Amino acid sequence: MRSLSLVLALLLAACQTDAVQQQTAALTLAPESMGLRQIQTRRFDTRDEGLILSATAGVLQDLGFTIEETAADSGLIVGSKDRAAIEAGQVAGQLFFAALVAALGGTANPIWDQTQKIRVSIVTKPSADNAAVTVRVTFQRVVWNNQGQVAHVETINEATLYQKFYDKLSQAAFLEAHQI
Amino acid sequence: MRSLRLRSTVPHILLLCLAMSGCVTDSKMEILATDKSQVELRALQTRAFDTTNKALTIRNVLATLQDLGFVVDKADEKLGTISATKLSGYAMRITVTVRPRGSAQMAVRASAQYNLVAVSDPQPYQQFFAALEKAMFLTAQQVD
Repeated sequence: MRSLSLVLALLLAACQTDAVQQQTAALTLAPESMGLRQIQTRRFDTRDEGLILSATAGVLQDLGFTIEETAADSGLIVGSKDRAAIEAGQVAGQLFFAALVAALGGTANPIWDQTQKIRVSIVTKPSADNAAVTVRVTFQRVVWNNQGQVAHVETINEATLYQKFYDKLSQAAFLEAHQI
Repeated sequence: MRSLRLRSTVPHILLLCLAMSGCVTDSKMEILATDKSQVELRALQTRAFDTTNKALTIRNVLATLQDLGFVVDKADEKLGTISATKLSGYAMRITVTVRPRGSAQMAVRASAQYNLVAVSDPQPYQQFFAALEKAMFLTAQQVD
């Protein structure tokens, strides 16, 4: 019993140092951050930051986002949308597993992703020489399962998704989006 | 045999209860709870930069937060406040304020929470300001 208390104390101490490490990691520039910046950023050859901002707001509306916050002087637009997150494969797998367990006389609680909130924030910035505007967009999402619990939270890092977003933005702004 | 084991277990449970009661007496206490003194927190969360350009400082904070994987939630140029969230298996929320300090500097203060706890250790903030320094091309100076 004494050894159990000791283990518990050690575990708690380990939790403590872990927490600081995790917090530190969360605020540390990761080696991959430069790659992500490239994926998420494009340059438009215009001095008109307002044009880019309103084109962006238009694209967000096209995509069904609700605009939650704008701070035009800082070049910021924030939006979100709530959507279904059901994936047929996952549901089928869970139901199959539950049926299998039931067949063996047990009870299983099939769990699958049900809903998601997708968040987007866009920051525009005049380039150093003031000849262009750079745009950086980031998508995140929170996914809830069919029990109403948060299943996962993540930042979207897929390059193709960002590419498609910028294709739409360059069409809306009548400007070409250049890689940085 | 059973009563013997019970006799040795009960004090441990009591001890555990006591230890836990030391932590949480009333969850309303969280409303005004801090892990460090106000002076300590301000010192480790604040840095000064040799610039008077508030707008540029705000834009550099936005860029740094995006580099760190945050989605910016809100910004207010007048107040100089920026709030952002990072979701990566955990949820980190951060507020950064930018305000003039004297006539030649801007003071930047960051405060964050990680899931359900306040971030009050110096290391995470050191990393944040190290990243901000790169965006600002200026040294982040400790303030007292």
